[in-house]
Amino acid sequence: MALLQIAEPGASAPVIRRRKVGLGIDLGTTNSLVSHYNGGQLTVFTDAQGRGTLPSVVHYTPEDTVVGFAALEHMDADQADNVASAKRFMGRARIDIDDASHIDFAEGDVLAFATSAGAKTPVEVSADILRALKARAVAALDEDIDGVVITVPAYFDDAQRQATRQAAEFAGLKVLRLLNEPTAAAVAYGLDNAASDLDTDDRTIAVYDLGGGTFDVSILRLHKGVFEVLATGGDSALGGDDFDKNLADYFVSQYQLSVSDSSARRRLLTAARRIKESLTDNECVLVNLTDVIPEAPANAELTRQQFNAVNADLVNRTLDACRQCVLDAGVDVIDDIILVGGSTRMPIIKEVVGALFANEPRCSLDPDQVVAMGAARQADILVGNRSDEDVLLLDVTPLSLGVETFGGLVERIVPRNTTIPVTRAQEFTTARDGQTGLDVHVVQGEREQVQNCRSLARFELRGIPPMVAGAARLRVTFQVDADGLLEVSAQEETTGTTAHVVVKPAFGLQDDQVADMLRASYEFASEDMRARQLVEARTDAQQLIEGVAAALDVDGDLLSDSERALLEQVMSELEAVAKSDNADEIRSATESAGRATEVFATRRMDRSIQAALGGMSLDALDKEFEE
Amino acid sequence: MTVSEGMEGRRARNYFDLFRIPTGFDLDVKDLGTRYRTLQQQFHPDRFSDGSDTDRRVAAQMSADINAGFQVLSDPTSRAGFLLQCEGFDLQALEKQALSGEFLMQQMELREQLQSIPPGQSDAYTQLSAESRQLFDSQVGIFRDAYAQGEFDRAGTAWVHLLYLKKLREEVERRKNSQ
Repeated sequence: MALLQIAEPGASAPVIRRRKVGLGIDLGTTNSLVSHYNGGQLTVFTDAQGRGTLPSVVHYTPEDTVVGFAALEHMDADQADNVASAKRFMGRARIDIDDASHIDFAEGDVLAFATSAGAKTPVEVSADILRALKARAVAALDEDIDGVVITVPAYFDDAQRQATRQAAEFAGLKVLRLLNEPTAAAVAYGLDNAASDLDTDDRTIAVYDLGGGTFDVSILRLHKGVFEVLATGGDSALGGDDFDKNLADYFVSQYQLSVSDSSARRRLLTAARRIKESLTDNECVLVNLTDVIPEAPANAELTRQQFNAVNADLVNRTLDACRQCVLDAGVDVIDDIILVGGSTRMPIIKEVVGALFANEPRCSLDPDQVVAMGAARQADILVGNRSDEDVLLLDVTPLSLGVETFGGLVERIVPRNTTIPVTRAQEFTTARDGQTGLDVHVVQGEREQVQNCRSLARFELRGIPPMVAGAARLRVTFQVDADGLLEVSAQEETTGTTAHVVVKPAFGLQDDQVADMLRASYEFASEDMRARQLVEARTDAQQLIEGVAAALDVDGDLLSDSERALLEQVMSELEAVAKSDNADEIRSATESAGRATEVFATRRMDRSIQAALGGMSLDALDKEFEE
Repeated sequence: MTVSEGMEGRRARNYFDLFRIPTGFDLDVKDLGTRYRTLQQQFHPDRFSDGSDTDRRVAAQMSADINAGFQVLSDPTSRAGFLLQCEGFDLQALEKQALSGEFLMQQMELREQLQSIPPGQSDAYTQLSAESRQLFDSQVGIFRDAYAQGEFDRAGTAWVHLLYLKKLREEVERRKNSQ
């Protein structure tokens, strides 16, 4: 909490404190998992029946909300009350959904599922799944949860990431980081240790992740404990479910079946899935669909080869994405291949992916659990349980970010696969004489035309003084943080007129609706909780005050006398506010006092660069002598 | 007013200073990579995930600067541009300078050659790739020499040539890989 605790090289941690509890959560389309790393052991929490997965299905009735296997039992009976695959709709608006014929959406602009307990947005459904996972972990650990790392497909856009964060907030979880699923998988395999054992300089890792509803591929480089994502690609609408659909369609045309209703369709899909799964260990299986459709043949056969032929197109689509990703990454050799997602159990996947990268895929960890396990390892680090061997994950932007310019064209400001965090600025000017406003339309995607990209936000920069066309200097700045979330600001440079937006989820929720939901999720907050919040707010304020005082002792020379006097004044004002009983007031005072320390903090960081890089040139020389 | 308001108009960073390496065109890319990772290990916001909001904000800006610096310095074309910027040149203005007819003609011919390669002729791509690489390297040589001599106009022209040749090389690779 202290102002910029920069570890001095060689200094050991002075105090022992409670090991904080971080969880890794894989919030999946079909199944979700929660995992914990205690510094020595990775655990995937199970339910009373010993099952590690939690089906991402929620059953809503006016009386009750049921999550997971219990919800699955209602699948056929009252399907409208059962919400599955909510992840596919995260961060989406009604207009984004092409084929919604099989889903009961609630009336209105906001995308929500119609249940007998009222309209439920994908964010609320996800929050219910997260609550169930949290309860599972709390029951097993009997401790408070300090923070979570939630994984998202690398391909998730800004709106989808925002929606995921919001779901965690509704569930009362502190998000330490949104982590891309492939990165999490690489962490789970502990390749960082493997690399240091071999003393190799670099390893390139391909992570092929075929889940129930999404596919992504990423190329990572591991160099001395730093994972860099070099490139990422994939298809957020391609998954194992599509293999089931293809197989079901194949049966329908092959045996000329008539699938009368959505219930029969669903049973046919379930049958197709079972057949797919049994082809994992068998070359040939018996197909009996009479349970689903009475007139279907009772003992047809399906070979693995036939299954592969039916799905060749899907498999090839994933390989195309792999090739593109290797090109984007600019690498020649892949040292490790990691398979993630239950769908990679299909033998054809291991075969073609191994052939493409000319290497044997790793699959010693359960492909369904590997993502949650990696997230748990990273959560343990991020929650504050540090050690010298911490891995650092450097992620990239999955999609290009830009703004609309004349003629509906996109001007890219941050290209995809740029390492984050990133700050980029671009200058624009006015088109008309006397123009006093500028519309900034922020979009995400790879296409040239705005209409083919995803619209993230619109805002207006007003109050530009009238000038001739082309005279104003309008600087638009994009900032993407380590979670991949975007903030955009615009400034007219000659006058300093500014506008600023944090890109909000564009799925139609208004701010007050969000506030209502948050209130609802907090309504059970007890008196105890409020007392605790006050203590926490005071502690934070006190730590800031002490941190600043300690930093001034060491590096006070970085500030001028007037800067120092101002900072000390801000801190003594904070000290006064911290004596009050209003947690909110203390928090906001701490926040603004914290902002007042930024210049000092930045200068201290600059000074510490020397410590970080000091002696490096000598080290490099030594190595050359050894060689 | 708070101290942070004094941050407006924060000067652009000198990336050579950031990585503590001497200002100049020639650098050891591997050493730069090591410095980059060392700095990120220390300043990435994940290192401050349990710290205060200020810690995380300052770290995010620092980490973004480190990312930008690594990107600019590791690529010879953008490194050349950055050196010119350090000498006070406006890159946008430099880019608009008139280029020699000879250079432009050569560029047009190379692009025509690229577009007329029939499908399946990977040898032709390899040859064109080598040719454009050679042209690129010779402009790098011109830039290095001109910069060292303090002939910044000549260095500026070489930099614009590098921009053209970099685009050409990317286009050759793109077509070669998508044939």
